[in-house]
Amino acid sequence: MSSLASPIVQIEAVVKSYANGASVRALDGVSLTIAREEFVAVQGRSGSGKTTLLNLIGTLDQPTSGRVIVSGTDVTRLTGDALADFRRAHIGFVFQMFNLVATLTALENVMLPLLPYQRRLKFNLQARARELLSEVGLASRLQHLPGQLSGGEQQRVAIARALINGPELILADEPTGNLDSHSGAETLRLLQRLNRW
Amino acid sequence: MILTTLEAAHTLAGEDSISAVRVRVGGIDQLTPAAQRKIETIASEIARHTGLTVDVMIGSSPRRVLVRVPEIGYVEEGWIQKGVNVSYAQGLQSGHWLLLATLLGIGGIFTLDVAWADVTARYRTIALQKALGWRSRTVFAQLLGQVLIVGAVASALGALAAWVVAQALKWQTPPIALLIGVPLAVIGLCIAGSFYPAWLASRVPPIVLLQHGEVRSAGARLGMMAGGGMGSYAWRSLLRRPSRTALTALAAALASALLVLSLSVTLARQGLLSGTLLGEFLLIRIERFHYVLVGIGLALAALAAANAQLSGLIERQREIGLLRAVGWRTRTAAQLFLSEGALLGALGGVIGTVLGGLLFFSFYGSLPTFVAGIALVGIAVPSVVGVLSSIYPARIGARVPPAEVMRYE
Repeated sequence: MSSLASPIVQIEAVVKSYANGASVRALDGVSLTIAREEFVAVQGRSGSGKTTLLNLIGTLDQPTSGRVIVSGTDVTRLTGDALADFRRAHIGFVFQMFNLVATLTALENVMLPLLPYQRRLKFNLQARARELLSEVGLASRLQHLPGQLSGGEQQRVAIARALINGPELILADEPTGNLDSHSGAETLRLLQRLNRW
Repeated sequence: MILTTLEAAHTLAGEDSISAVRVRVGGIDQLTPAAQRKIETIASEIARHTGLTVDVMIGSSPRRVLVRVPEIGYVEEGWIQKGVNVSYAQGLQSGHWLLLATLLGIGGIFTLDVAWADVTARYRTIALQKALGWRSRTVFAQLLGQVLIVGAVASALGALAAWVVAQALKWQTPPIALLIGVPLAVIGLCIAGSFYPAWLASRVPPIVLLQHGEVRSAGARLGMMAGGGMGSYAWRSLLRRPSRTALTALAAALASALLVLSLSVTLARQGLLSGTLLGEFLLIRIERFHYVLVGIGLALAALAAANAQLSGLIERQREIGLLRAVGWRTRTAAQLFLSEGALLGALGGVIGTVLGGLLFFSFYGSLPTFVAGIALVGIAVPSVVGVLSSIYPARIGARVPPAEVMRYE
C-alpha cells in the first residue's frame, strides 16, 4: 500500500469520452503524478477538462480508459460502495458552490461525511468538528445555518468539512470562484496553511 | 279516531280492521349483532306462525301524544313516533357520507400535493417562462388547465370503471346523476386542490434564474437532537418544506384516524358506531369495506408521500451527490429517504391516532378498550406505509451519481 515516498496521485494515459450525441473527448491521454504534501493548481480554459480530471481523481467518475491510482490504490478497479468507502477514508472535497446543506448548522455540516458512521469512529465526531471549525476561525459560528454566514465563512465551513475524515488528499474545484477577491485570497492562504498542517 | 275493542273493530271494518301489530322485543338496549340476531329470529317466528308480513324497525319508540276521543275528551296515547326508521336510515347515510367525505378529503390533499410537487419540480422552468415574458395569469391558467385535463380524464375513467364493475357484479346500475355528479365533484376537487399550487406557480419570480447556486433559506429549525444523527437529519430535511410535510402528513393522519376509529369500534363496540357528531346523528356498522376504505386512504397518502419525495429529488440532486461524494454508501443515502418516509408516516400516525381517539371519545365519552394497542397500530401502520412509500424514491435518490455535486448549471 502507500508509503510517504509513493505519489498520492498517479494518472496513466487517461481518456474520458462523453457519448452525448457526438462523442466528445474531455481528456485525451492525460498522465500526471502528484507527490504527497504537494500543493498543485490546475489551470485551463473553460471546457478544457479541469473538472473532469478532478472528478476522476476524486473517484466521482470513471475514465473511459487508463488508470487512476490514488494513495497507492487503483481506483478504476473499485466500484459502488468500495468507492464511497475509499473517498470517505482518503479524500476531502471543497467545491466552488460550497455545497453546504442549508438545513444543517455549520457544526452539523462539518460532521456530515461521517454522520452515519460515527459509531465506528475512534474519536468524538462532534469534538473533532468543533476543533476544525475553530481552526478555520469559526468557533463562534458553530450553530449558524449556511444562510446566516458570508460566502467566505461558508467556504471555510466547507474546508473544515473536507478535513473531518483526516484525508490524505484534498480536491478543491475552483474554491475561490464564488468569492470576492479578499475572501478568495484568505481561502487560498487557509488551504496552503492546512497543507503544511 | 275511535277507541274500541277488537270485536267491534272487526264488525266495523271486517278483515281490514287491523293494519299493523307492533311488537316490541324486550331486553335490548343496544343494537349489537347478537341483538339483531334475536330480533330476526323473533320476526321469522312471527311470520312462520301467522303468515303476516313482518317489517323490522330499529328503535321505534312510543311517544306520548294527545288524542281526542269523542264523548270522552283528550286521552294520552303511546304512539309510535313516525319516521324513527327514517332517521336511522339517515344516520346510516350520514355515516357513509362522513367516510366518503374523509376519503375525498384525502383525495383532495393528494391532488394538492401532486400539483404542488409539479410546481416544485418545474420551479426553474416556470422562472424561465416568467423571464421570457409570460404573465402570472398565463402560468396560473397553464397549471390549472393541466390538472383539469388530468382530473377530467381520471374521473371519466373512474365513472366508467364503476359502471363496468356494477354491471359485472350484477349490481343495480348507478343512476346517471351519480355517474355524472361524482366525476364533476372530482373535477371540482382537482380545481380546488390545484388552486394554491397554481397561485404559487404564478408567483415564482423570474429572478430565480439569476440566483445561481444560492443557498436556500432553511425555514423553521425545530427539534435537532444534540450530536445529530440520521433521524435528526431526516427530520430537518422534512422541515425544509414545512407546509408540504404538514399536508402529506395530514393525508396519512386522516387515513390513520379512520383506522383508529374503525378498530376502536370493532374491538370496543362490536362493530357498531352510533352517536351524534356536530349535531348529526350517525350510525355506522364497521365492515370489511371500511378497512378497504382505510387501505385506499393509506395508499393515497403513500402516493402523496412518494410523490413529494420524488419531486424533492430534483432540487436535492446536488445534496445527494454531495453525500455520495463525501463517502456515504448507497444504502446509507437510501436510509435517509426511508427515515424521512418513516418520520412522515409516524407524524401522520400520531395526529391521526389522536384525531381518531377524540372522535371515539366524542361519541362515547370514554376511550376504547385496548387503547394502547390501537394507538400502536394507528402509529405503526402509517409509519410502515411511509417507509414502503419511500422505497422507490430511495432507490432513485441513492443512485444520484456523486459527480452531480460538481454540476453547477
